[in-house]
Amino acid sequence: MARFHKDTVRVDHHEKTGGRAAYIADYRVEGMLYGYMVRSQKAHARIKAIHYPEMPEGYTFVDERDMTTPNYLRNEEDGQFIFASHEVNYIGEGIAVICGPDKAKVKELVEKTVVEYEDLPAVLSMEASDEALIAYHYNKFDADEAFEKAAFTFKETIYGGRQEHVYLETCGIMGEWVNDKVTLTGSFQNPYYIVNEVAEVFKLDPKQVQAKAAYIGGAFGGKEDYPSLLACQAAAAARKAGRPVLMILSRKEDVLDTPKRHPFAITYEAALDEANTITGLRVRLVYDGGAYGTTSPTILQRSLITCTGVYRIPALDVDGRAMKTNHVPSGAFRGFGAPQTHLAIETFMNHLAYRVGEEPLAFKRRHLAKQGDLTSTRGIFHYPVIVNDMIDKAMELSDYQNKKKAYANQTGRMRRGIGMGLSIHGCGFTGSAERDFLKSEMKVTKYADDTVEILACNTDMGQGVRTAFTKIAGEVLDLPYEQIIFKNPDTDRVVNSGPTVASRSVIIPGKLLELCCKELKEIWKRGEEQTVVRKYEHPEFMIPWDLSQFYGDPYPTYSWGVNVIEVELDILTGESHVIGGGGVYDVGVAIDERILRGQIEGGMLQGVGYASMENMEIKDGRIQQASYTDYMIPTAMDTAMWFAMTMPNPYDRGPLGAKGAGELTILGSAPAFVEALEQAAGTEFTRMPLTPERVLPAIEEAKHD
Amino acid sequence: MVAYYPETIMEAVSLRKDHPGATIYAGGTDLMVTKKIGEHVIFVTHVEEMRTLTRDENGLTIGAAVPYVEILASHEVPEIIKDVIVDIASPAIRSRGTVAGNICNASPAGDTLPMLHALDAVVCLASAGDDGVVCRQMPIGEFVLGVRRTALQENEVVTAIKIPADALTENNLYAYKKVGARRAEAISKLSFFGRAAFGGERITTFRTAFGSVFIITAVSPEASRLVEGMTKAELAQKREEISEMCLKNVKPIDDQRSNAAYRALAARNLLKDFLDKVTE
Repeated sequence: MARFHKDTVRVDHHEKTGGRAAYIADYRVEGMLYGYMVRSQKAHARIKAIHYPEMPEGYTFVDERDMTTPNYLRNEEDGQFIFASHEVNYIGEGIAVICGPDKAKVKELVEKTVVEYEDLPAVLSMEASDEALIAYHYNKFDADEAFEKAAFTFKETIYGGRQEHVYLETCGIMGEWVNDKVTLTGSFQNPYYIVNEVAEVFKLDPKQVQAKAAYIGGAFGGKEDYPSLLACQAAAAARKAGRPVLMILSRKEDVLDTPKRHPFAITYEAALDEANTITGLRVRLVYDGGAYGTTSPTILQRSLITCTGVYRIPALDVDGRAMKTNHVPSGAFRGFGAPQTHLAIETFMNHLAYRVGEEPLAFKRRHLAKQGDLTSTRGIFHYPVIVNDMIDKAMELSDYQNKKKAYANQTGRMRRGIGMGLSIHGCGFTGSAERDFLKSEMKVTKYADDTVEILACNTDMGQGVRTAFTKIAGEVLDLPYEQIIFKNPDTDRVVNSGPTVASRSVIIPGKLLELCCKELKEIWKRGEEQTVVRKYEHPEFMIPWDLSQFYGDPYPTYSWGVNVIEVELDILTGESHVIGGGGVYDVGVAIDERILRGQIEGGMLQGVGYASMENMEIKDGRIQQASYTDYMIPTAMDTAMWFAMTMPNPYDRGPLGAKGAGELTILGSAPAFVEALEQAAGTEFTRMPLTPERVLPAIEEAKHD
Repeated sequence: MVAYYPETIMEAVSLRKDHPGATIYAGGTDLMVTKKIGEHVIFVTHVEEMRTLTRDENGLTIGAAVPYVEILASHEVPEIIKDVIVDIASPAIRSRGTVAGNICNASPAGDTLPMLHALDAVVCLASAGDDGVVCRQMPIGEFVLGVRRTALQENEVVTAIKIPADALTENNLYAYKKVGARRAEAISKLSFFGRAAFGGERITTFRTAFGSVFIITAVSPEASRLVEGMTKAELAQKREEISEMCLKNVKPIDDQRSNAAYRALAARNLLKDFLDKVTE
């Protein structure tokens, strides 16, 4: 086994476990003020007036009137304001910042601020909305023809709820101006998103904006774009106050104001031929996008591209839309639109298999995509697909077939079930963004003392990118890992290697890093300082992506997963819990086996939570489960001893053969859980999450059928 | 805030006499969440007489300052009680929290309450009299009056919980279930504790208690009176009527944790399962 596979102590392990790592809440700067937001109490209303209490000496408020430059975020056309201006569109939306030296006093002033509203009609569900934030439609060949010739058709709608990231550390940023330069330090995934957004809003040259990542206490996509809003608010507050301003969201604010995973309704309709093989699929996907578009367009793209899961579907007619509502904006979350479609397609395939009288797994295996097949968007699976072998491995490790048989026709109070979820994740940013927008760079400097520093902007939010990059560099340069330096990024020092999103860090900047290090190794001169820079080159083999047609290769390659989940169900209460299962993954080659096991176990559990207990409802515009007493994520007690392994399938354009991994691990466990629970309960489900409140009435109903 | 650390019950009750309504702090696991801590705080953790756990011919006595973790570790405590305790919160909370605190917090979702009702637990109260400590005892059902409301007087301290020996003999059949959204750190959506004891052919004791379905634990003294003295066959015959009686005070609501229909259905199922076992 190569050195890099083996478990190593993470480069940030001792700092984090020893309490030395400084998170943004640990920062103290001379003259620093604390800033807290006045937030909307209304789902949709006109702001008639804001009555601030008298500000004591040293305290100030900041609102839209202080924005001499545009008061809106530039990332989408839907006009999200930095400080709500005239109108609020969801409960929790930021209206003003109050800042001052004493935290408690600032909070008191926020409490005493009275906003006068005039209620406006609110859109309180996606069904009630007739305005799409974004919509796409595409065809793959002629689905209508498939339906005309079909021997059998089946149509079903699968529903799913919101999911909250529950990162340990809430969002937080400190803004500080020195002359005409602003520095934003905090907890965010993408330093250059901050630089670009703040430069745009405050009409600065990007060189006048510095973003410094502190240690990050988890993100899961929740710190992808939201921090750009917070950075603008902190920068505006710091500018007016003339002092550094630290803004850290309370947990409740973080729940109210930061994006959630899009709730969905996805309708599938399949056309099958005489041999019970799918010949065409119609897909209608509806998302609750919330009040503003934020990342909805890209999420919707990934959802629609992956709406066929791991399957080869000859003809498609796909329509998707994210509806505008007066809810907190939905946005980026590990998987980025793929968890929804995986939960839906896997569950739909199971139900379809039951309809045609076939065992779900056998039915699915007949439809698996293989190398050379066309993808949903008429791109090509260019690389070997080993998912069949992975299924065999997962079956062996879970004793799948025997258990599936043993759990048929149970009696008694506690009943068991087993299910399998298959998953695929396109590696890298969707579409042509890597080529057209991100254009990542990588910079590696070797110092005179022969230490090597990686000057990239990718952030370690707990996923282990600092360790992975260190290992890639160490492996290529054949140096001890201790000789490699990769710090939390500071945009004054590093190049733009692109956002830390989309499971792209290893496969895109990681590859550039490998190339830089190969070059450095060739020109290596002991005792001399040397710098190597590389720019992204788009793989030539890819069929150019055309968003208007949804045509081509949106990703160079794919990672794959097979998950098994085994559950036990109490039929008196509808409570279920996981008792076994695991995951087998193709991520090319694992850079660090232990980090990957962590990703697998964590991702699987987050997926199980998504399908089972994680329930966030919005009633009359108000989030009902706004604390972690009421919004439940699984604990260590809610998991089981899972197998977690990878099967090597090296990718020649990934560093050391690696592909993307981080998001993939959340995809398969959710549908596997649903299938397992359906077996235990002896009924089918179409509305997730499967809380006991949903499961128990279904069991009762099944009894009477 | 003034903190007091009495070492005897006499000292503790004297403090409550001097500072009526002073906050009594045992494990603090609920107080720290509500942050409703008064000007005077009496920490009872050091009161040795309240730290004891004893079992004798009269039954089990759990001192008011005994943390859950010590109950779990004790050889004197029957498994059925441990089954309930181990479902509470997390190891950290269990190392500080107490049964007395759970009672005095008087939450409709208090995890120990249905068990204490079904085991006929008695709350021991003390206050300062002219000649020393004055004690009185009160059945759990009379002590908890409503949401966050108990019969504890401003000058009183809960010193112990007593569970009678009868409720803990092998002659008892128990059924217990806490329904939470997950297996740790979950506030109950619904909980149930049932107990039946037998004398020859007849049912001598019959208790059902539901948590989180009403402002206080939902019990049915009428059902107890009706069932006690019956044979299993007689109970089986009157099952429907008794079942409705047991469920009479089960009046759940919709909230952020669950909904009324689910709670009612699960309560019915758990009761049915218990009645199946009793009549078996």
